[in-house]
Amino acid sequence: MEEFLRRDEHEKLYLKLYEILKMKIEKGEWTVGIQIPTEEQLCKNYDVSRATVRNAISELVREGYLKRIQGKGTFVVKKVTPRESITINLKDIMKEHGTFYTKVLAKTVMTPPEEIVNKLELSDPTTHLIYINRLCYLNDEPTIIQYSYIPYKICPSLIDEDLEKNFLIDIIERKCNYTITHIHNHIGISYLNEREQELLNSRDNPVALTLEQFYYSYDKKIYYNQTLKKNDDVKLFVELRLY
Amino acid sequence: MKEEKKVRDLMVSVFDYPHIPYWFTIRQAISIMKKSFIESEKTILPQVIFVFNEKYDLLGTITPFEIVKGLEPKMKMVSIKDADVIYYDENSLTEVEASLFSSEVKEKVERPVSEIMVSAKVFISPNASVIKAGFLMIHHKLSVLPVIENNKFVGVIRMLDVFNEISKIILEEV
Repeated sequence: MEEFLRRDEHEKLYLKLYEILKMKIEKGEWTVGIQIPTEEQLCKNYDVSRATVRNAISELVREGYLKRIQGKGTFVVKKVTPRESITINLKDIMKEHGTFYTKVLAKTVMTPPEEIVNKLELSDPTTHLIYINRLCYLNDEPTIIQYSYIPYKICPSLIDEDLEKNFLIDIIERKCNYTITHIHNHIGISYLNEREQELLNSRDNPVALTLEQFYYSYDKKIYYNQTLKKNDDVKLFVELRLY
Repeated sequence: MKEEKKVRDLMVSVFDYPHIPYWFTIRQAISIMKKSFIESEKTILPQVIFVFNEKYDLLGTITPFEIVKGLEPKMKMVSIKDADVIYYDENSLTEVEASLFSSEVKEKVERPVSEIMVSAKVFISPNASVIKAGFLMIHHKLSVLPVIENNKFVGVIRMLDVFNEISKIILEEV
């Protein structure tokens, strides 16, 4: 089955195809040395114009993943670095600081408040969402609060999943067949409300680091995550590996 | 004689209705009610919001009735002896109208919906008869009845559908 291409932004169609083709290389569906389908075949598979296919391939050629060989076709010449190395996953970062575990405080279904409708850009404000609230402990000290909002239709089975043992992203990818292609991260500062201060034992220090994350599968927003980390001695270390 | 319909045959999905957790404020419930029942193109009847706890267990229901009731200030009632009817004192009603803009109401709308919801206490199995559902609803003055199977909230049966079923039986029996 081929991925669906949304057509509301024509000028970016080739970028969407580029993401799809890139994922095929990253996921190992297309390995190094393999010949990719012809331009005609790709036009047919994704129902796009020749120009769109050519632009997407040219971008991957420019980045060194694909190579065009005259008279033979287009070949994969380099593996795409998996996304883990460029993702800020707070939990992975925290693990380096000691024992880490998660408690699920809430997992329920809701019709979203206005703010979340806007964040997820829902066309129907009455869409049902799965709401998950987690409290993460580092060395037995409550450190992080996470709020996640996932449209119910994206992953109905999520409501029965164990989120203390599994990662949300893994469940959405494995059980609900979505490939998360990119994550938009917004970092900021916020004040903890009373409940949050109590949960994090930080009445005297109500400022928190905020990480807002939008998880995308190609051009579709899959879910929204808000992470609050209390202001303590733990410093965050992020390494961006380019190769 | 036709086979009697079961609750399972007539129940509608819980996802036809808005869901909110018990900690949502009355203001948030009003906004969701407006989007779901007034601005929406879908017709959802009756107009009910289901209230859940943090484990997605059903706690209760809210209709526009509970919202308006929840915002009602304490009024001076003029009760007339030996009558069942309670009249509002006219002066008091004017105060009530003004009170919608008062600080009292502003505080009230920030309170959680759990304070105004009707607790869900009566349930029915999907294998029960529609008629039984109808009578349970009458006795407990409900317009929707939650359907529970294996401790899970699987759907709702509505008075509208019960009535429709009864009307068929009555009108077709010649």
